Amino acid sequence: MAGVRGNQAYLVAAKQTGKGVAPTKWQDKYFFSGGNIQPSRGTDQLSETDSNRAAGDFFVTQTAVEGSPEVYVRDTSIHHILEYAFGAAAHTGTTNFTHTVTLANALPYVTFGKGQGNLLFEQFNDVKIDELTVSAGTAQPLTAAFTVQGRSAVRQTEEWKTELAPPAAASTAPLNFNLATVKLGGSETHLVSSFEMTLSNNLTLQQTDDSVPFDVVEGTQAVTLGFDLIFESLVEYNKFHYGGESGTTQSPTIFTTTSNFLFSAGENNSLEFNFPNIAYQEFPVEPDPGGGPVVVSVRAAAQRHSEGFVKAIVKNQVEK
Amino acid sequence: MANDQKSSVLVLGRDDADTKQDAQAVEPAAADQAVTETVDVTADEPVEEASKVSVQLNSDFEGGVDRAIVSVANYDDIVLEAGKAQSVPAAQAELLLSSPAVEVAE
Repeated sequence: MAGVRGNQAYLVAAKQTGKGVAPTKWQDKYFFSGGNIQPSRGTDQLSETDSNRAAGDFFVTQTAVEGSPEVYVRDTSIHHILEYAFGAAAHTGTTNFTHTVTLANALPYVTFGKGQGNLLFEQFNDVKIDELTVSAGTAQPLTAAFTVQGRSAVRQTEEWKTELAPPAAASTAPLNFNLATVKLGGSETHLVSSFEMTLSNNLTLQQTDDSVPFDVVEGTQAVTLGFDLIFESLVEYNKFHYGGESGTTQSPTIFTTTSNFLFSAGENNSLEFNFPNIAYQEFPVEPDPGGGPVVVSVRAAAQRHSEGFVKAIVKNQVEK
Repeated sequence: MANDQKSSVLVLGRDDADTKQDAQAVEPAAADQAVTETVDVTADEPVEEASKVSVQLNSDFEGGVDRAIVSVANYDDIVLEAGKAQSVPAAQAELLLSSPAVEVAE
């Protein structure tokens, strides 16, 4: 029997209705563009005085779920990943649907399944997304990388069947940065060449009287934004350092602005991130002895706003 | 699901039996009264009614859609239609109201 090929693997996912409630149907099937999801196993070592030099025996401290799978972003399924990480979604429309995904205080538990070759099938229960990064380099496809923490893993003796049979994976092309429309401060700009949004949920695994954690609990929420900007004008630079577009004196206050990234593969197939209030944190304009054009790696953090740190709008032909 | 510490209400009490030195100075009636005042906040209506919130579809959402399915963690999806309010548990309402599709019904 030949060894199992690494590229023969898939990921399925479904939102649970509560802790410990198994899903009855997978929502999506993804293929890995990187990363993994797996059972975790924490161990520690006994340490006590003895009559010989042999180190102490090991013992199991915790069994759980960990990993950082990465998948390509397709409009047909990204609204689900976003809902898992953000917490709330509103679905509207008929035939063509719009999914508005927003941040909430509670995150849903998610069940993931992984198939590797035709040999290993594992189901990961009561999982939450700790950190989600949606990003794309110049001309590159968008990826969604998410670190997860979960309570327990179960090895299936065969692939999921009947109602839980994995659905067909989406065959549409991933969204990419060449489909982007970027607005800074409400005005469209063609100077941005990359995108990276990171949502941190700062999860904590709570362990009590079992090697299986009792729960996965959300902590402080934060959203950061990064993008590369061709340095052609002083507008954004001045906003960061000098308090406004034409400022000349260093500003003692944080300058905030808006940002919007739309990735559109058509009128009814798109992904949009709207940041209603961001503050630049880094705006490095670096000389280059090699003479290359200056590209600024801008870093910003979302600030509190009545509409939340960020809102995502996905358009596709999937009802919810 | 474990309690979220940030959204918890902490009611502090004191175990007088463990503080023998101060036992004479403590007035049990005062402690009882403090607990009673906390309960009185919802005394006018049944607990189950007080913990419900009436929500409805935001008439401004996406330029005025007439129907939206709203999903939040740990609750079944709720279908909101224009002009129709629904009563939901306060904990669910807190999550629902994080969506721009939902507003408190007047």
